[in-house]
Amino acid sequence: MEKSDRIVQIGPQGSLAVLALGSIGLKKWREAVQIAQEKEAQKKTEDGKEASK
Amino acid sequence: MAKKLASKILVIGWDAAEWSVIEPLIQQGKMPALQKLMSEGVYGRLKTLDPPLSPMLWTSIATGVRADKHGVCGFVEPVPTGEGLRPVTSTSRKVKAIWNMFTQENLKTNVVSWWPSNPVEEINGVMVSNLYQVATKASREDWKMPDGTIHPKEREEEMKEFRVHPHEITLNMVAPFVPNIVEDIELRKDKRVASIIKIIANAASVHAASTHLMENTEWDFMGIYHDAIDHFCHTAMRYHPPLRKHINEKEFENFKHVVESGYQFHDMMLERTLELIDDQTTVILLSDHGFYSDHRRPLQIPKEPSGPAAEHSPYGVIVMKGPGIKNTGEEITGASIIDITPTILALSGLPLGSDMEGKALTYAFSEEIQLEFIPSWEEREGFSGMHDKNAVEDPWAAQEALQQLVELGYIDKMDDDKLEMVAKSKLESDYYVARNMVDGGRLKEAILIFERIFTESSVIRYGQRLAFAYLNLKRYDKVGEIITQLKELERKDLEETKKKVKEKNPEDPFLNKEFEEPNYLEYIEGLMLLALNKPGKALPLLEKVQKKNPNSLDIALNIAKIHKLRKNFSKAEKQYIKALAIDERNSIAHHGLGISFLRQNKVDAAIDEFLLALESNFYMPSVHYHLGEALYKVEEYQQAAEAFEMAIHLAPGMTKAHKWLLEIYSDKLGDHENALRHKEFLNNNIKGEIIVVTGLPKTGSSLMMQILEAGGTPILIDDVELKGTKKNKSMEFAKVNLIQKDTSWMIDARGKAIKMVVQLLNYLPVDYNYKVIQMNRDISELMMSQQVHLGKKATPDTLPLKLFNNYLSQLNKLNVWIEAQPNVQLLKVEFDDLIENPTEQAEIIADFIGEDMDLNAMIQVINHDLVKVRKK
Repeated sequence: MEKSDRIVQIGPQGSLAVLALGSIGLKKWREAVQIAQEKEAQKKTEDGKEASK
Repeated sequence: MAKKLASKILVIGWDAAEWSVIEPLIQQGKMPALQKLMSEGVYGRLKTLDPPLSPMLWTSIATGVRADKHGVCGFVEPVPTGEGLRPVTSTSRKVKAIWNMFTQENLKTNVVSWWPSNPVEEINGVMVSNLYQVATKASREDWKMPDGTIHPKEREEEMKEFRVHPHEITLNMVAPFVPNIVEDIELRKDKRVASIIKIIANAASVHAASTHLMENTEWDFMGIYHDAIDHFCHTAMRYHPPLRKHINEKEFENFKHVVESGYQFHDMMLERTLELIDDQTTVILLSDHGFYSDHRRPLQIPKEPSGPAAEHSPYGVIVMKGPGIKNTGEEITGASIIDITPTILALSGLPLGSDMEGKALTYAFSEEIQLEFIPSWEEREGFSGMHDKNAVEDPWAAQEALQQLVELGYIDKMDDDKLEMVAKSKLESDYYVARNMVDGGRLKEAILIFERIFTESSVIRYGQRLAFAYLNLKRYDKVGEIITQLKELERKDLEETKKKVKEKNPEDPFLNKEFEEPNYLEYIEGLMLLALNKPGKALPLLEKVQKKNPNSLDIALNIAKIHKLRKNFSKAEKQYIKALAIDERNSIAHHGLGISFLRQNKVDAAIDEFLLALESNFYMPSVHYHLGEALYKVEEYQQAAEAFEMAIHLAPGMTKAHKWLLEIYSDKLGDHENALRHKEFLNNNIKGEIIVVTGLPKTGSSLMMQILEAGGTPILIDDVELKGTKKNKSMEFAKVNLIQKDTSWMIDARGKAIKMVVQLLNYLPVDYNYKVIQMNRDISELMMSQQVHLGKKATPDTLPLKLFNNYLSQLNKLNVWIEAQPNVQLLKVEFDDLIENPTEQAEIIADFIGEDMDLNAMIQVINHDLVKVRKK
């Protein structure tokens, strides 16, 4: 596992260590944020569907 | 081509990084990457230049020259319309930077965020300007990249992605800096928190851009500049532990981690950066200046342009590691920011410009190399990527030209307020250049600028610097004039403030405030008295100033100097200790403290101090000399000889060290070969030292000869048979007056005092060292005395003007001549001081002669003469 993956996974979300990894940390972190946002959006959609049932 | 020691060079700039913050963090294991870099290379303090203003300094770092040559003279420059100011740009730089030199040599070079580097230059590699990371819009989506940010332009889209917007910074990222932010929602609105968020985002942008380029481009030189440590410190150094009395405790609790976390964040970024280099890369990590982190932190920031620079300390950091650099983990001394470009060129096997003001730090290199020089990189042909000099205008000159067009009616009148702002900035920029010149020892050029801007503006700060510059050039009459002008300005200032206060409240107690001489004027007067050999009068002034400025290093050192001069070593010791409490690594203070200990027979303590002085600055011959003296006292003769040898190595003309070595080798070590070497040196190279007493007629030079004789100094005068005659009374040696034709008699004058008229001094041959004692007396008083001596009528109104001017001119010529003689030391003694303060003056003379003298006998001669003066 790459160091950047490890930090994104094990560190607190959006920790300083991610920024300290430079370009690679930034890319991974932004990807992680995007995935989290998509998941959240998906959850909201699903929750909305549930609620409307 | 010179030998190339390093094939790739990475320069990492940490603006304002300071050892006093780093050292405890390293001890706690909180900066492991930097610690590793230090242990595998060399490290040390890096002297800044004055004034410590970052754009000027980083340009000196990248060019090897000072501001008047490189052209970046402050934080701002006029906008192209002339009606206003903008942050200083790369177009202000008039000379090639290291990246231009590498480009010219067809070497690949990347530069990230160097200050100033906007607009970017067309170098042989990638350049990211210092405006790259500055978010101009509230959201990342709207944040466009301005023109001139990236070279080559086709990399703009790619580089854009590595900018971190402050909105991307999460609570978790800020928490290490401000832990209370997690719980305290109100604290999140604090403007200091907003600043910290911006600083983190900017640093992350620079780091992401540089790591991306390191991973994806080939380079021979790469320069990365981070301003974040400086910005964290300006935001929160006042809250850095320990807590000071005037700091609010709650604020202290909220912001006490900012500085420490800022450094740790940089160490984390450094770790990643170092992972991306190979073992063929030489790393140079440095700061442009330090940042006071202890009791020297200013209580208030001066309300003047560039006032925050008062928080900057004069030493930054340097760490070097990799091919070409020693891997001993040792500390290096004597490095300055002006040395960086010559060092990079030397490591890269490229020639140094003879017009560069710094030196290559070859003592940190792993092997000795022969340096190659060219007259100037400016004359070297070839494409360097630098902005076209013909297309780029000097912004200040352009502004002046525009103003001229306005005056001629060619273009519309510009806004007066904006013009005034530009005019003030121009003066300020000139002021920085002049200070930069003083820092480089170019006092005369600096004085011309200070005189002009002080006359134009009457700004007190300019006058203060002018007074100090005059003082250093020994132009005491001018110092007096400026002091008078400054007093007048200060008086006016007080009156104007009173007027304003009165308008608001006619009963305000401030209106009763009497004019008090400002502290700095007393300081200048004190220093002038000291320079004029009136330590007794200087001391109370300096002590008074010290009470108000207990943290001033210079004041403590000057007071210590007075006590040392008066041989009051216990008092000198206290002041040197005070100086070391202000700057624990100050080599002058360690040296002075060592001498104070040595003269009080505390020899072991003296040795410790001399060694500490040498740790801070190894290149001080007089410290090696005194160390030798101390080691001799504890009978460590071999080590004493080594110390004296080093003193001579650094200052070959140091006669006294040769004498010590002759004695040690012949009497203590039985090393006759070396003894002979020093004997021959003393006999041949330096024929000896002669004390020359001089002055205009009737200034007391005969009296001085008598004083020296009484003190135990041999004198050379005409035959003893003349004893009691008029000729002998005047203490003359006839052959002295024939020095133009015959100097053979001088061999007999070695170690003795002779008397010589001022006009003959420039005939003194260069193969001797001289200690010249110049007797002075108020010229009008002196001329009256001469007129009386010649049986003429003498009142102040009847003095011959021509003769008066002639005397003044002779004294001026003497001073000019002496300044240019490396083998002449000068002591000026005022006749009046001699009569008024015989004890003090006898001490000063003995200190100058440098031998144990019979002070009582000297004072007796003066007192005897005093009786005669009074009788007259």
